[in-house]
Amino acid sequence: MLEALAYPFMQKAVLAILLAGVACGIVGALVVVNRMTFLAGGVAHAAYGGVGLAFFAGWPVMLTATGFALVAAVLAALITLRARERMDVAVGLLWSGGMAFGVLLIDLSPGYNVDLMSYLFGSVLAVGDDVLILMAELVAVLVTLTVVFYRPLLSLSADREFARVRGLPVASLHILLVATIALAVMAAVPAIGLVLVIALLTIPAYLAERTARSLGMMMITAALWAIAFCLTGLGLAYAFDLTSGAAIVGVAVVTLAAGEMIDLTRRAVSRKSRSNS
Amino acid sequence: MMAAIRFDGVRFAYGGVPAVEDATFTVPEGAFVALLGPNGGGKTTLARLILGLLKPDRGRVQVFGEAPGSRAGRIGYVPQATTVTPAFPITALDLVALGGAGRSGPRSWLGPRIDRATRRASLDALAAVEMEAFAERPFATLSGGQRQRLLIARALAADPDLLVLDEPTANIDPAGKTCVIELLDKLVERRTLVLISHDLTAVVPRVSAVACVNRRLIYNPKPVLTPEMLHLIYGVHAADCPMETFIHDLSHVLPVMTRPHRHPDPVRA
Repeated sequence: MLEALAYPFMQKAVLAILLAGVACGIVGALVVVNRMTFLAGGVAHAAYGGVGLAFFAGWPVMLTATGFALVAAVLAALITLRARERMDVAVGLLWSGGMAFGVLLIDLSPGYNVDLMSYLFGSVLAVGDDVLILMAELVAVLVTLTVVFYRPLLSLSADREFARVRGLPVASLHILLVATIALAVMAAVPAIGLVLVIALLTIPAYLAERTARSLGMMMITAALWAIAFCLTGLGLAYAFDLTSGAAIVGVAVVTLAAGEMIDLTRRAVSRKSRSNS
Repeated sequence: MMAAIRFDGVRFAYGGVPAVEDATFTVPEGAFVALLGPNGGGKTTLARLILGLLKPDRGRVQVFGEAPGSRAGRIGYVPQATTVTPAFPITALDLVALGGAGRSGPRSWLGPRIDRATRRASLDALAAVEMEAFAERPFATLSGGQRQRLLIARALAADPDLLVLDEPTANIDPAGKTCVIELLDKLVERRTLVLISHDLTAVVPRVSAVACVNRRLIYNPKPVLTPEMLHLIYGVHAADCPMETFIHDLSHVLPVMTRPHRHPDPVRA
């Protein structure tokens, strides 16, 4: 298995996984504590509209999809700001509308013959230098934004109403928060794809929330979990010739299920020992 | 003396359904107001108008002579402990520091570290609620009463001149409730307090004024609940109705309960 690391495509895949893990760890923690999983899913699927637009107009795919996802995220943020209680409708619109837009544009694109599955489910073994550079830039922007605005984002996430009373620009911070989701989604797409990215945004952060004493620690722990899932999934994909994105999500789901089982067993044992004593 | 809060003919409605109508009252600086009323009567709406979270449809709200939004630095807010998710990953000190952040200007919000002034203010606020030993404890491991005291500390960290408390004794056990009421007794020394409650026993000894709201508002600058105020909260009943007897009895009992504590006269003692 280790000999595979001698191949340049594998080295790039590992680098892409590290970047995707950091992006999903940081933003996944924000998504989970703000209960925004569904919104994150909507933004991820809406990015497919950007993929379609890129093929239709002949623009660079990742860059166009990133711009499209950012616009969709800002729109979603503005809608959810005005009517937070109807977030489900806004997200549903974004989710299906973005995908439909992408599919229609690809239908209208003359003579395309590209494997679109790589955008939907990821293809980390085929990541090129240009994509790797874009991923690194997205992660650099994400890390900088999170470090600079850590405490306003923490305040927003802990108690939105209190943040408003303290005079924080809650609307701008909400837009920033949703925009970071778009950036993280696009940083993770080459590794895991638009459809499966939601697993990498939620499962590592959910596991990290159990032990973290701070949002910062939750971000770091979630990033480590995400990297561990990605590396294991990549290894399995290489060894058994599987789709890397699906293998990564499979590892994450099995780990989460195992963790829940261990927790349940531990609780049952402690209940039993209490009732015996 | 400048008014801490001034409402002039304020009306606010949710989608055409009025929550507060024609509210006019003035709270002087240093007052401790108990804002009472039934659930759904408009207490929280009134609080949100004071905090600047809602804008009146009609009339004007002023806090220390200005619109509430421009007085954010002078207003503290204590919500119910349930507003912060129990599992949220944050220590007591970090949570309190969110109240004190920004004291040295908006730039002090930036960066992941708590600046020295905010840290000092946060530790002082924790000490004020007797929670300094819990500074590094995660929020999730604290009891309901401890969480509520922590939210009071978070508001105190900004050293506000006006403190609005929304049902601070709801959802906590009797011991925690007593602790919070004792704490409020100390806080009233240096600031204006507005205590929102649907519980008449929230009219703690140091209350100096009472406001009752049930869409309409009656403000009494004295710590006395009049029969008119009780009727506003509980409704008007027939003379032979047990509810009317209850209201009549309350109006006699509460004024006595709400008079300020007097220390024993040393000469007579």
